[in-house]
Amino acid sequence: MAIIIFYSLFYLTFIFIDLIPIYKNKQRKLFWIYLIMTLFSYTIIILIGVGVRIPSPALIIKDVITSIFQL
Amino acid sequence: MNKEIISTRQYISMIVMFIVGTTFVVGGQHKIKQDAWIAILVALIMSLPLIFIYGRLLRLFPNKNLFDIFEKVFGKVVGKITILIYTFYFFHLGSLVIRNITEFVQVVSFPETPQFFVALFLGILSIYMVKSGTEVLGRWTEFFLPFILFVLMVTILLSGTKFNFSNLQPILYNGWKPVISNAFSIFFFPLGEIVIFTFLFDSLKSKNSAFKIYLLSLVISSAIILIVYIRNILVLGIPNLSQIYFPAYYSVSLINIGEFIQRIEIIISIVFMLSGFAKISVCLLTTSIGVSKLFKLPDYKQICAPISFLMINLSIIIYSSTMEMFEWLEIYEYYALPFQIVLPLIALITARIRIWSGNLKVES
Repeated sequence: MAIIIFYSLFYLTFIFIDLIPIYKNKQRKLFWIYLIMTLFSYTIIILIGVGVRIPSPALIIKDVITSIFQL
Repeated sequence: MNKEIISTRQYISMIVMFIVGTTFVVGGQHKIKQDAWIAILVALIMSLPLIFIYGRLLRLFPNKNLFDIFEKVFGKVVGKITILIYTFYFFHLGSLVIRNITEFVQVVSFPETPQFFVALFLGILSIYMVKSGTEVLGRWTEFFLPFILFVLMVTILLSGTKFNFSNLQPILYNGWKPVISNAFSIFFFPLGEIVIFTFLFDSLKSKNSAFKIYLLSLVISSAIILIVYIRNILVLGIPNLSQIYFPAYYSVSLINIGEFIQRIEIIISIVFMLSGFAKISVCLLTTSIGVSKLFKLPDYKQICAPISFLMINLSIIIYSSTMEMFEWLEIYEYYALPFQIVLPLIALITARIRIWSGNLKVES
């Protein structure tokens, strides 16, 4: 839970600092890209906070490399 | 967006701090303990053709970084795919560095502090640095590099009483094959990571030869790494080196001059944090530039915050233990091969062919 609380505070801060001015300046493409990335990363933080085990991409990359190079 | 300009000295400072950034944290885990210093020299020689490739590419397309060069050489579609691949590489690299630093902090200093807490503050500082711009990052590294060099020299001098020169022997006991194999590892990590700076070359004020700049940077970085590795071997000895996760830190912890100058390893922690922070900032900077190129955004600074948060997320989930972090080093050379050698080489060959056939015009 601590991770969710801490990160929520900082996410809110950056929404006020960055996202709202972007919206007010009518930079639509940037606004949607920023919002989607922020929501995606916030979702991951919530999943980590509630104890969901997210598979690491490093393991997938390691499997691909070991199979290609026969390590 | 105003073009950001940095001096050659600031550029070299950035490269040196970047290369030594996490080398002291996760480097030094070599199979050929007492011959690791020979492997560094061999790796430096091996990196000469690499920086020649980068220098030729940047010379063919002056005032452009490698993102622009890929689009010009490969066309819009393949160029964008290449930019996407490199953006992911720098993003992944930044996450790895964040995890290296947080793992180091947890293992040596704050075992009860959650890693996400340290990662969050590293990420926020990196956002602040990237939003301030390349010029501020250049000035920051130019300011702190002499401090880092001074600290390293002082710790080497102070640990002189613990030197045991017999730890360097026997030299080349197992022959050249393990040395060459280890040199490849050092070549890919950390020397080959200089590729990231080809994406920042357009910020350079003077148009000196890229090859000379990268050569000087690599020589300085290799000298620093070499001196620290030799110190680690002389102080700790071979059996200890294979058992310790962070040998550079523990070799300084042994300094004890008259029971007055002791427990100064905290200074090494500060050095690690400073250089690691520089590395994270450069990775975040290039990832933000890549994303802004992909989506044709006017300013990369506006997108750096969510990218940093995603980097932090990846750093949290990427490894499950410190051991796994060091195991990754064994396959990193295979993972980095296409980014550091293959793609730039293909770009250079394609550019030369297209120029020769008249399909591509270059600015003089």
